[in-house]
Amino acid sequence: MALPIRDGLPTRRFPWITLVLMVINVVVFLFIQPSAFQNPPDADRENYYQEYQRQLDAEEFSARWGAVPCELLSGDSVASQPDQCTDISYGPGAEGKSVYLALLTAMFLHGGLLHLVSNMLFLWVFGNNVEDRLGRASYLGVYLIGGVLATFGYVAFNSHLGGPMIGASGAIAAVMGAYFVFHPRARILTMIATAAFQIVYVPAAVVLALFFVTQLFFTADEYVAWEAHVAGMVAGAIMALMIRLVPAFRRRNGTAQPAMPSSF
Amino acid sequence: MPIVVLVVFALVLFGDGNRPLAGIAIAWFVVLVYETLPVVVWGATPGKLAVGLRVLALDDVGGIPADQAIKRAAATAALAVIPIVGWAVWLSSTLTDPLGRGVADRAGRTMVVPKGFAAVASRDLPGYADGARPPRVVALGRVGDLDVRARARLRRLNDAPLLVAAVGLLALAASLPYPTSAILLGSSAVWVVVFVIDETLRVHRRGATPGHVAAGLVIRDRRTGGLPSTGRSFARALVLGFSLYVPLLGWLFLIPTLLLIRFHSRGAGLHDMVGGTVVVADPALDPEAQRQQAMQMRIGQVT
Repeated sequence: MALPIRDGLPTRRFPWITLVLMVINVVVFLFIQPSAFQNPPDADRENYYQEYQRQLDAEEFSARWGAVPCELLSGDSVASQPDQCTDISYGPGAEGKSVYLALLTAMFLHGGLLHLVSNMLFLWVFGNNVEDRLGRASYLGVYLIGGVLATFGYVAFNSHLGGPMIGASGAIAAVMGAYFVFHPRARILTMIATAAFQIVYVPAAVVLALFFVTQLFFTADEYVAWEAHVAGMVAGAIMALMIRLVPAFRRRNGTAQPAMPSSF
Repeated sequence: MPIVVLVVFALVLFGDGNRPLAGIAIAWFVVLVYETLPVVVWGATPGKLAVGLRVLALDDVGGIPADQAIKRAAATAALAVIPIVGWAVWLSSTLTDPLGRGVADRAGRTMVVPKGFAAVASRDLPGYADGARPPRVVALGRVGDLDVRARARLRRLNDAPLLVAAVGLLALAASLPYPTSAILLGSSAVWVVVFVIDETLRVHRRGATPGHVAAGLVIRDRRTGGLPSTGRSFARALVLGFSLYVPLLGWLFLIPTLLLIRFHSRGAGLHDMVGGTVVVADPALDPEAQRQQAMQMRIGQVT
């Protein structure tokens, strides 16, 4: 297990898009998602009914705004029982849902505080340098398109599933894939739990390769959409390679020059 | 005081009992605004103005730029809304810094000074520990400081491909189908063995690890002034590996080691004492160049 903390690469300009994406994710989680997402389940028996309602709200919200594989394939909400939806153990779905809009909304929702914090950490560590390298518009494009492609990667492996997938991790995996292409030799300050919890600078290529490989070992009961992570990372890397081949982008040259203070 | 009133007022107005995290975010935002606006407009918050203090941006004459004020305020607010831990970090970082620059001042590249100071230049700052704490010098040269040596440790894997490979493989071990505690213990034990071998060889052969090289430091035998022998290097590596990588038991060694490196006249941690070694400025480098190299390490400009 490897947790990135920061990287040693300076940026030439402030990563506004990364910051705005983080603010959107945090504000949506704190103020728009139902309150059950930020509370542990309440064991108080007197409030049982209230707690039950809160959980129902949260489930209904996920079903409405999360990406559901069989809905995306059929174009119909689970609630209208399309043929593709054979695994509907997740609930009845949401009436009148805009199925394809959920592709976009799902990537701004998070299932819990830990989910949100870890995603935002990865976005902050890797996003600023990719934004610096690509420019704001292309970076936003890679993020959003990468997120959608990651969702399709998940759909490809779970086509009959009637349950929602939420989270920015597919899009962030795309950013990580782009980072892998642009800055494989950058050093990432990383905490490595299985090497005595040490914190040490590790080459980016190693950290990102580890992230990629460990996705393949997740088991079904861990509720991690690892297919989305893998697909997102591959999509991000391919997009970055394609952008590299476009002369207009190549001319801008990517390697950020360290900003040396005048005193040295 | 006004800040507490403002936070309570905002929470009553916008808070929601069902959204505890949203409440923390609201409090953070209020502190952020309170710490930003007065600092940009008047040069300090009302409380600081009342006791004759102001906030200066390093290398800037006149007002404090908004981006630096925001960074400073964001860090202050983050520490303010985390009870106990955040307050402890704020207090300890401010009190232990020789110039009273805590986490927030470092984040915003600012400094709190008494009224009357016009400007502070950052080129005077990296070496400010020199002024506050006289450098320790032994026969073999100037002693490496704790913060420089600690940061050098973070670069232990630079130019060490075998160690990188070991760390990579150990990180993958998390995916093995064994209990988590067994994986953590087993992999950490393997790491300590690999580390001790690598550290012994590097210290014996070159008298430096990559982190030391980046900081312009060398490890020398205290008595001969030469490279430490294999035995001494091994003993040193063993104690160091135990201190750094064995949780709980190792901390019994690590904490005294940190204090010793900081306060001991030779800057010798327990591992240096066991190995009879001393960590000093590389005599092959020009002293001023070495000092600047160490300063760059201290302020985190080396990776």
